[in-house]
Amino acid sequence: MNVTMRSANDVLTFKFNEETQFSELLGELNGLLEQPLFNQDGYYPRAFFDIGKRILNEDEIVSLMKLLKQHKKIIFDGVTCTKEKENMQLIKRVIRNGETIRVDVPTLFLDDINPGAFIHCYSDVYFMGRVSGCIIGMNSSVKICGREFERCKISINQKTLQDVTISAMVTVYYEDNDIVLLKEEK
Amino acid sequence: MRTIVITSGKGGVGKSSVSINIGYALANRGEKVCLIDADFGLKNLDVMMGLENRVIYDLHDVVTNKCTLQQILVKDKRYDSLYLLPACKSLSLEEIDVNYMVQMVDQLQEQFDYILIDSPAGIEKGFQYATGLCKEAIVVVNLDVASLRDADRVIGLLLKQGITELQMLVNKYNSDDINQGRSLSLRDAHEILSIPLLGIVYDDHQMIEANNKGVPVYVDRKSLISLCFDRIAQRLEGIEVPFMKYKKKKLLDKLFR
Ligand SMILES: Nc1ncnc2c1ncn2[C@@H]1O[C@H](COP(=O)(O)OP(=O)(O)OP(=O)(O)O)[C@@H](O)[C@H]1O
Ligand SMILES: [Mg+2]
Repeated sequence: MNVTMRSANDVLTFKFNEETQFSELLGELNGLLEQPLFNQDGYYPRAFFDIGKRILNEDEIVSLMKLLKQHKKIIFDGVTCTKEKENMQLIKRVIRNGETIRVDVPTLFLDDINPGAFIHCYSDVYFMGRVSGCIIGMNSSVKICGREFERCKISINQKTLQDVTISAMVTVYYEDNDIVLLKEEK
Repeated sequence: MRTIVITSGKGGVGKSSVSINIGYALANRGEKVCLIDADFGLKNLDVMMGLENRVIYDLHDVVTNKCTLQQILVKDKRYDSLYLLPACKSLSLEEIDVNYMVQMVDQLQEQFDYILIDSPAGIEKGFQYATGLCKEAIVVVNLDVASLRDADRVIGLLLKQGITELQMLVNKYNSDDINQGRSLSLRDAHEILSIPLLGIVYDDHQMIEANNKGVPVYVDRKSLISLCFDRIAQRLEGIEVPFMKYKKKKLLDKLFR
């Protein structure tokens, strides 16, 4: 068992073995989530992930989120971060009309960006939810990734894509003096 | 004891109508309810409840020691456990020191199960004031883009103030308009606001008539609207009243996004 599970105050904590390959951990987690425990009607515990000293890269976080979304059994409630690493900031809440968020470190938004919200990005951003607000890359090296855009405005380095509506893994970046939207396969 | 603000951002969506009828539905369940009119629009709660000529004193008189807090409370005509604290005619709510108002609400808490505060439209001082007195909020919306945008803004502000117990109430719900695609759907509202749905209230001319006559629509116990408010009151009290299936499923989808 490289993934252990324990429950306290209605929150499940999943502890990941530090030595094991991440893909293997995801496989074990997948097996755990198929247990009858999670098939009870109305049982949707919050889940916290204790990953020890491990440093997750962006792809790993995204694949963890994908797995959770696919199962729809637990509600993601956060992950440990050790101080010394360059960690990815997680923002769990909905960003609402009238709010402006400044992003200085790589950031993963877990919920929606509503119409009328502004995200000013000085670093890469990843969106798990629906993006309908206005996403502005403040320099040419910023990368913007997401999977569901609805009438969203995206601009990087003064180049703008209006009314982006798309349902697929998408990366938007800046290259050769223009803004590029790349749709990923799968 | 719960203190709940009824708010919306956009004007005219039905905050006052909803406040009154939730008050009635709770009183009908035997709860002791105080409605506070924090709205300085033209239609005050006293007029809509038919209590206009019973209002003698207002908050200004309490502040200047002309009468006690108890004396400005107006008892409802139909329910003995329902009281109205009327809006000030002589000064605006914002002119009263917030701490003083907080003290008064504290005093009222001892004698009521629910204090419902009808907030004015907008996000200006009056809104800040009304929300500053509460820990819970009911956000009233109509299924149109402007109402939902404003509600989204308001929810952001409420969360910032530390009011995290938020529920939405969809008023003027018209299934014809929804089916014909003329208005947005409950799903749209939930997608954007992502807070729990407290209930829906149908769009009905009876509401307008009732408000104008000063006889709250809830009083007609045979009406569909009256039933809507019963269900809302039950949910407020923690009783599970099921919604139509698809809404619930959508809610779960949302949680696992
Ligand atoms: N469910 C309903 N069906 C039909 N008409 C309604 C309904 N609810 C409210 N109304 C009508 O809509 C109008 C506005 O209602 P109300 O005064 O309660 O809104 P409000 O949000 O308090 O407005 P304000 O922002 O001005 O304070 C009134 O004419 C009222 O009768
Ligand atoms: Mg009003």
